[in-house]
Amino acid sequence: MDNQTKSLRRRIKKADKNAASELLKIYYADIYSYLSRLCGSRPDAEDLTQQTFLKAWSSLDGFKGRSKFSTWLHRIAHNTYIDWQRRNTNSIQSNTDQWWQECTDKSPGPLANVAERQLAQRLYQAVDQLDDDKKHAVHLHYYQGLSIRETAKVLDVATSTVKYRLREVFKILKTKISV
Amino acid sequence: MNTEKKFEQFLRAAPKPAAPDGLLNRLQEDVAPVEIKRRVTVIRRWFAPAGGSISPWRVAAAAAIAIAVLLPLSYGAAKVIKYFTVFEAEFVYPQDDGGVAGYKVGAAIGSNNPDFTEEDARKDQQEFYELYKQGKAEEIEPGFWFATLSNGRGFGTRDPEMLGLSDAERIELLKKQFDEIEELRKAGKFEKIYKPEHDFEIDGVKYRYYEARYTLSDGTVKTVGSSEPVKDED
Repeated sequence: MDNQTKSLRRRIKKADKNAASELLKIYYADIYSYLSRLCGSRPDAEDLTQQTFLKAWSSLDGFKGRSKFSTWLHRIAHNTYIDWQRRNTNSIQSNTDQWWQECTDKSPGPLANVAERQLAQRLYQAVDQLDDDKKHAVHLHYYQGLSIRETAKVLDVATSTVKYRLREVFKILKTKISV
Repeated sequence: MNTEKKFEQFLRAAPKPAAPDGLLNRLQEDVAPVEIKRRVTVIRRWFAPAGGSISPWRVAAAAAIAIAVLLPLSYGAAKVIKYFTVFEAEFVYPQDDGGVAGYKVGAAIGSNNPDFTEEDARKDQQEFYELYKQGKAEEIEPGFWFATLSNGRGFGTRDPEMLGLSDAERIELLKKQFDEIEELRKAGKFEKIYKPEHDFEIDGVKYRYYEARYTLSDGTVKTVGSSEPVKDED
């Protein structure tokens, strides 16, 4: 994936529009789901995804490959969300609660029975009630599958900070949810 | 399975919202590698306005336009396809080693509307200043003021007071500020905040972009876009 991404980036810098389209196909669904989980609203997630890629195209020349391309994109998406969040503080929480409910009800997924789905739903809602630092660590590491190091790069903190935040997350979740 | 493992398993299996139909097409319409090239050209023009080789001393000045162009993207949700520079000024300080340090200030107002005119840009600026004076602009991050105008466009600036001044008054005020900033720069008295997403390369030389934050004697904080050559990559 990384070699393919590198070659596509090289072609984009030569203004190859097809290469940019290919790169988009690889990453857009991941970025959309990241933003969608965070903001809980489909139209807002679409707008934020659009903003993320617009920023990516205009900053691509500055991407030096010091991190994976997907990490760099997540960082742009994260910053785009933070900007948006500052302007929409009141509407976010209620939206995400509703979204998790709809999503776990519909999703067959690996959560086999009703009890497990209900537990998962409570868990996801509890994650969204965490403070922002901890919530973002969970979204990036668990929901998006980024490594601890990649998560730290996106959040611009040390890897030890991410590990500490995740440890704290489990302490909080255990007090809120009994299995 | 212990509780933590179970929670981890659930978190890793969190539902993935499917991207809606049509989103990929819309994103593909925005694909604009040409924009990337245009931006580099804009930066190059600020580095070396008369053409020819790029003086490293101009680096400090160059980033101002990049900030001005990027701000509407950060705060307005739209691709800027047209913008006008409504004010610019340059302040140059000769250095002991024969070089010069330069600071360039530009106010650019952009829009995603292809019919956007310079008159619209100036009207937006005026309306924003009126809203700011009436206390209707919001400081959405420290030092950055934002308001939504009556035409629906968003307008943001770090220097709302500057909008109420004439060009001559602006230059006089800026000269005083940059005299002080230059003293603080030489004394190393500023905070450096790296913005890796804006790093760039010109003529094979890679530059790391950062914001230098200076606290002036009257307590105001001024941010100057700057950059330094990258010595070795991580």
